[in-house]
Amino acid sequence: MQIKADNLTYKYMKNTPFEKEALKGLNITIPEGRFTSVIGHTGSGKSTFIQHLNGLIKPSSGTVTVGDWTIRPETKQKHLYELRRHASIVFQFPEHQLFHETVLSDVAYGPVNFGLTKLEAENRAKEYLELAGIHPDMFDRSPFDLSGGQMRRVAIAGVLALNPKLLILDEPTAGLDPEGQVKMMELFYDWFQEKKERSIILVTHQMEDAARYSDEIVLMDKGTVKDQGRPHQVFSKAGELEAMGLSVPESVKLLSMLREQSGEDISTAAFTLEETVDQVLGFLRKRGVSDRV
Amino acid sequence: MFDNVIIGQYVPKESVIHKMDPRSKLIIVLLFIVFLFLTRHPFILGMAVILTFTAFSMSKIPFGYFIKGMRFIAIIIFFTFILHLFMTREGTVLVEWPLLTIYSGGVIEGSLIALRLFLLILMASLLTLTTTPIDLTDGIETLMKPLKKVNVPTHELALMMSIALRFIPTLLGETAKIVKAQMARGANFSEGSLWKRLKALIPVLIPLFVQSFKRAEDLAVAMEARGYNGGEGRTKFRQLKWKPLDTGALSLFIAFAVLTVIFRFFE
Amino acid sequence: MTYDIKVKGLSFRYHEHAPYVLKDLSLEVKSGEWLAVLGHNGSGKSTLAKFFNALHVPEEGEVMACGRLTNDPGQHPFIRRQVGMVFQNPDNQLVAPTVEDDVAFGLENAGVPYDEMQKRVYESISRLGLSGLEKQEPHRLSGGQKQRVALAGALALRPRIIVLDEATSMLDPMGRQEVIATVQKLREEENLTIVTITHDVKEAVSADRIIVLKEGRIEQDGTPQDILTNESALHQAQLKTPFAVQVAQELRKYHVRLPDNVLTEEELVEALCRLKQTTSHINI
Repeated sequence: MQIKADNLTYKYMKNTPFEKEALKGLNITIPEGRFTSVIGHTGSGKSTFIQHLNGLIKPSSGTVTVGDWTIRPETKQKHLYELRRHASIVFQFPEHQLFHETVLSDVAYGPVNFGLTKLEAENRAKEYLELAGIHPDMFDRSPFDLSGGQMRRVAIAGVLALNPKLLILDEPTAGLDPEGQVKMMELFYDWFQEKKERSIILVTHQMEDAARYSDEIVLMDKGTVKDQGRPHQVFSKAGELEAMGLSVPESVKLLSMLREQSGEDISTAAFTLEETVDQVLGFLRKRGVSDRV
Repeated sequence: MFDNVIIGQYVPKESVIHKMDPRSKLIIVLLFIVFLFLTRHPFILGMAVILTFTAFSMSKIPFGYFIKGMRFIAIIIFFTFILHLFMTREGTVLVEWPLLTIYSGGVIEGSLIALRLFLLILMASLLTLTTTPIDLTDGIETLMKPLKKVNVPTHELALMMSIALRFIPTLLGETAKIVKAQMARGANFSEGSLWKRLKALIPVLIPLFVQSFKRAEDLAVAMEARGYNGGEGRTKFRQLKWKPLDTGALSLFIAFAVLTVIFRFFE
Repeated sequence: MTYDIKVKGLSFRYHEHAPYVLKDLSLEVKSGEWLAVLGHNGSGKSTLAKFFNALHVPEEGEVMACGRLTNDPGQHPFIRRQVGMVFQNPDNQLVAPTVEDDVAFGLENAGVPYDEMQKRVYESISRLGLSGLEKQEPHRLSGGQKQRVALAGALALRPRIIVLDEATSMLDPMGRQEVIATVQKLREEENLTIVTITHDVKEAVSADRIIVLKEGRIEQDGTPQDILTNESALHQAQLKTPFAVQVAQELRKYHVRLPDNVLTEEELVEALCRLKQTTSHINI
C-alpha cells in the first residue's frame, strides 16, 4: 500500500498546559512494495508518525493516505477498523501484549478478531509460529512460560498471522542479543521478499539494519522529514546525523573517520564487511601502500 | 486516549499557594470542607465563595484549565441538584405538574448542595494543582505520624503512596501501548454490548497485570539492592518547612471556622 | 593484591529440579579493576551479578564481597553499601517520584544524616551531569538519563564496587554511549572497581579484563585484546566480533600489516594512516 502524508500535524494533550506538537506539517510519499527505515532521535516524532499508518491515532490536522484509506482529523474509528487488517504494527517489546492461555490461541487472537473461524485462525497461527521458529511442542504452553526471546517471536507471529500488506516495525530487535537480532531481521526480510506487494516500515536505532535491509531511509527530526533517500545517500552525511544525536552504521563511521584523518577522498557507501574492506583496500592502493606490504 | 486525564495533575507555577507547606494546605482543605457542610448561612457561604476564588486566583492557575477537568464532575453536581430539587417538600409550591411538584425549599436545597460541591471540588483541586504529589505524600505522612503509636504503619503507607505516584504515569503509558497493540490485532473496544466491551478488555488487563507484577518484582530487587530494610533507622531527604505564610493562612481559615460556629447559633 | 570480589566453586539453580545456571564457577576481581562479563542471553551472567551484592546467596560454594561472606545476613547492609548495582530495566529501578528523591533513596536507607545527605545527593547529581533535572519525574527522562540517575543513586553511597547488570541492553545507541562514557569517566576519576555485564562486545573494549560466560561456566578469561580478537571463541559464545576487529582480520588476509591490538574504529584508522608513513619511507 502506498503511503502519503499531507501536511500532517499531531498534538499530544491538545488544549492543556502540557500540549506538545509531535508532528509539524509532515509531508512524505512512500511507494508500495518497499522496505523503508525511519530513523530519528528519540522525540523526533517517528513513533507518532507510524501510529498514524494504521489509524491508531488520527491527525490533529492534515491527512494521511494509506492504500485506499484516507485518514483525516474527523475520520471515525469504525472506518479505520478495516485498515488494520491490511496494515499491522509490531510495537517495541511486543511480548508485553501476550495474554492468552496458550501460545496458539494468542497468535490466533488477531485472525479471529478479523473474522476467521477458530479453525482457520489456528491453522494460520501454526503456519506463522513455525515461520517464527517456534517448535510445535510449545503451541499448547502458556506464553508466560517461554524465554524472553521466544515470547518476542510468538508476539510477532501474532501480528504476521494477520497477513498484512504493510508491516510496521517499531524497534523489533531491542534488547535481543546479537544472534537474536540477526535472526529477527532475517525473519522480517524473508517475509517481505515473499510477495511483491508487501511493504515494511522499520523504525530503528540500529543503523546497520537500516542500511542493510532498506530500499529507502527516511530521516525525521523535530516532527518533520529532514531527508529521504537511498541508504548511501542518507548516510553519506555522517556529520549532520551525528549533530542530530544519531549514529551511522559502523562501516560508514569507520570510512568517514578514515577519510577525515587521511584527507583522501574515500566513498563511505559501504554497509557490509566486504564492501568496507574493498574501500579500505582501494584507499591503501591510492596511497601507494601496496597490497602485499 | 489518556491525553486528557488532568484531574489532580500538578501544574508548576510561582505562586504563594504553591509555596505553602503541604501540611497547612491539607489542614485548611479539611477544615474548609467540614465547615462548609455545617453552614447554611448566606453570609458564611458568601465568604466561602470569596475565599475560594481569591485562593484560586492567587495560585495563578488558569481557571479555564480547571473548568475543563470539571466536565464529568459538573454532571454529578447537576444530578445532585435535580435530585434535591424534586425530593424536597418544603416551602411554597412553585410549579405543579401532574407527577411533579417543585417547592421553593427544593430550589434552595438544590442550589445549596450544588454550591457546596462546587466549592469543595474547587478547593480540593487547588490542593492537588499546586502541590507536587511527593509533597502531598510527605504532608500526609507527617500529619499521620501520631497514628504510629497505635501501630499504624505510617512509613510503609507513605512509601507505598509515593511509589504508586511514581508509577501512575508509567502505567498509563503502558496501558495506552497495550490498548493500541491489541487494537492493531483487531480488538474493538467501542462497539457491541456492554458484556462484549468488558470482554474486550481482558487482552488489555492481563498483560497489564503480568507487566505490573514483573515490575513489582524488579522494583523489590532494586530496593533490596539499595539497602531498603523498612523504616527503622532511616533518615529523610525531605524536610517540610513551616513558614509564617502557613501560620497566617491557617489562622485565617481557623477564624472562618470559628465564625461558622458562631453563626450556627444564630440560625 | 587485594580482591574486592572472590567467588569460589559457586553453583546455582533457581529450584531443586531446574538445571544449573552457574556451574562450579570461580572468579576473583581485583580492587580497582574493570571487569566485563560477556555472554549471550541465558548464559548466566545476570544471575552471577546478583551474587555480588547478596541478592542471591550461595548454597554451593562461596562468595565474598569486600572481604565479607555474603552468606551472613548480618553483613548485608554493609555489602549493599559497598556494592552499588544498576539493573537492566530503567523503568523498574527508580523508586521515587523525582530524580533527587531517587538519588537520596539509598542514603535514606543507610541512615545518613540530613545535612550530609543533601550534600551527597547534589554532588552525585552534578557529577553525573544531571544538574537541572533534580526535580524532574523519572518518566519524563530518556533511557540513558534514567540509568545515570540509577548510577548517581549508587554512587551517592560512596561504594567500592559498581555492578552494571546489563544496564545498557534496553537503551538506544545514544543512551548506551551516554552510560558507557559515564562509566569510563567514573573509572578515571575514582578508585572504583567496576563490573559490567553485557552482550555487547563494544562495551567491553575499554575494560581491563573480560570473562566470557557460556552455560554457566567461564569459557574465556583475558584482556580485551586476547578475547575480542578471538573470533571463533566469540562466535562459540554467540557473540559478535567488534566490527573494527573483523575489518582488520580481513585486511590481514590481504597482507596488510596491522598491529595486533586493533580493537576499535579509532585504532584501526590510526593504524591505517600510519601505514602510509612506513611505506613511503621505504619507497624513498
